[in-house]
Amino acid sequence: MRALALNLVAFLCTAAIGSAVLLTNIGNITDRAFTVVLWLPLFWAATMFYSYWDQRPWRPLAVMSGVTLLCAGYIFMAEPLV
Amino acid sequence: MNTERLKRLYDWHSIAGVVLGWFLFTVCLSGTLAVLHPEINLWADPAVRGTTHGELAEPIDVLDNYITAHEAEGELDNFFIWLPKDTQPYYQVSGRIMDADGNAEFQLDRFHAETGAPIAAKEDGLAYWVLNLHRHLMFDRTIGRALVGISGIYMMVLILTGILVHRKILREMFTVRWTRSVHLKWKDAHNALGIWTLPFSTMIAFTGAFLGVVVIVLPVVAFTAFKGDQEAAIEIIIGETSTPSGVEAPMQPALPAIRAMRSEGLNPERLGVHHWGNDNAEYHVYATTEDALVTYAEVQVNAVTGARKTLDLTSDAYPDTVSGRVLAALTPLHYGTYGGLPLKILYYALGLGLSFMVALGMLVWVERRLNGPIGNRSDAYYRTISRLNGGIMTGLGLAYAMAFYASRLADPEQVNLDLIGTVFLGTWIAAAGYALTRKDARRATVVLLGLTGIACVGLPVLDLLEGAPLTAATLTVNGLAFATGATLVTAAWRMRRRSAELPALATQLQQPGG
Repeated sequence: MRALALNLVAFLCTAAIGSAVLLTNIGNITDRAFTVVLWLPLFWAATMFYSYWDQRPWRPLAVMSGVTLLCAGYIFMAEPLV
Repeated sequence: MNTERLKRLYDWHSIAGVVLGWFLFTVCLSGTLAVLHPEINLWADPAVRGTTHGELAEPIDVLDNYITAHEAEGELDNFFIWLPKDTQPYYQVSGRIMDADGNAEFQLDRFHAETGAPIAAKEDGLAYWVLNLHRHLMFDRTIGRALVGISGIYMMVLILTGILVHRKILREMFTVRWTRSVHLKWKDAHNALGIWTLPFSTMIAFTGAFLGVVVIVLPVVAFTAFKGDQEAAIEIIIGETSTPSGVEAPMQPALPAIRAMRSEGLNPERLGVHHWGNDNAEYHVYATTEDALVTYAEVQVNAVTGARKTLDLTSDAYPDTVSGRVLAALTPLHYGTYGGLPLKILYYALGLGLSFMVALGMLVWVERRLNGPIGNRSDAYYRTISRLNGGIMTGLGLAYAMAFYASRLADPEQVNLDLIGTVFLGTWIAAAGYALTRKDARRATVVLLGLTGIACVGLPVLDLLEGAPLTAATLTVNGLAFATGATLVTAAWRMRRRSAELPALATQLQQPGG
């Protein structure tokens, strides 16, 4: 159950960071979109690795959920692209 | 790194490897063969082999023939013309046909290289199966690609944990204790193969993960940043698409642009025809190039005036930025399309190495639990896993070999995906069933390995017996099948001898003074 939760949160965290980066004003939108699409798989793998690297049972879940919520807050506040 | 963390990573590496082992093995072995799908396509179809062509028919005349054949079926657009080449010595034309109810269907037809006349249509067969079993496991495209992509992500994590838990990489690179126990031999081979294939497997895992997960990442990005509008997301990423002007105009031939690209050292392979018959019509000529790591170099030509518009080495889908360049490189890197046949042979060897590494990891995991001190399940449970290991992994190789035979021995008119799929899955299930019902898992693996080896060695024999003309592509397929088969037969022979020696050794040890 914990492994399933970690995988799900790792994916949500990855997607949230990707979307937040896309909504920033750094560079042009096309380049941002390409950067996000390119690095998301690597970041997904990194979050999964982190969740097993950290020795405390629930800390990876807490850290990744926190990051997801922060990004979600930013996405909510930012202007959509259409 | 402390011991507890190391142990956790080791446990994760072994558990994730076992849970995903059969799936990863299937993806790796299918990918190894998918690299050679154009060559396999020619091998499977001797009727078109060795066809030489002189002056090519004008592609636009070929398109005219296609349109004439299909115009009664609905509105036609989105044309792509694949130019004749060594592994496909005929034209292929694909177009989207939209019927009165708005249902779209893509139809692919073949045409003679020199005359442009329609030639007998052939249903998708062996090469399609080989390529698409790897790309989307023959499932729905989105689900299948996502599953394969996620396996790439897990592979990246497995590689990282593998590097961290194996601290003596340099020593393990050159250590295989052939005379020690089966478990040690397999473990050493797993480690050595893992290290030797490390740069390749890292690249394959990353590029494969990207190609697979992009189909699930894009909807999420579109949902959050584009209010769920996927089309808006695609438009921003690849640019706005134009619409037909509605003003009719005569089309210029496309061959001059193709010849001009050839004279510049490019190898045009595909022609996209946009807004056919309109005054804003364009030809997009896509060429492979050995000067840049891109899927295609692209030239855009005004189809009304014949004037060349652009030469874009990164193809129109990718902007000329660092990310764009890296993205353009991912597909050729993954499929090894940037260095000709020698590179494909290298990819095949490395892909087999990677597949064996995964298989050996699975074998080590079971062996440690069957004959070692660890594992908290019953012997019967581990014996079943051990039998399935042999059946599923060696059975997959046998299933591929049988699919090759089916595509050549069946009536060419009857060869289609149903036949290939039935033979492939039937053989795979039968092999797994056979292994599951045998008492001695190792002996069942030896039998299946030997059968797979013999079947592979027989493939070039079958090809030569039919007397079909040999080309570089088919010689490559034949050579690799023979080399793989000979290796598997040797491995099976050695394993059989070892299996026969073990009971004798045990008896000897039980005797007084033994």
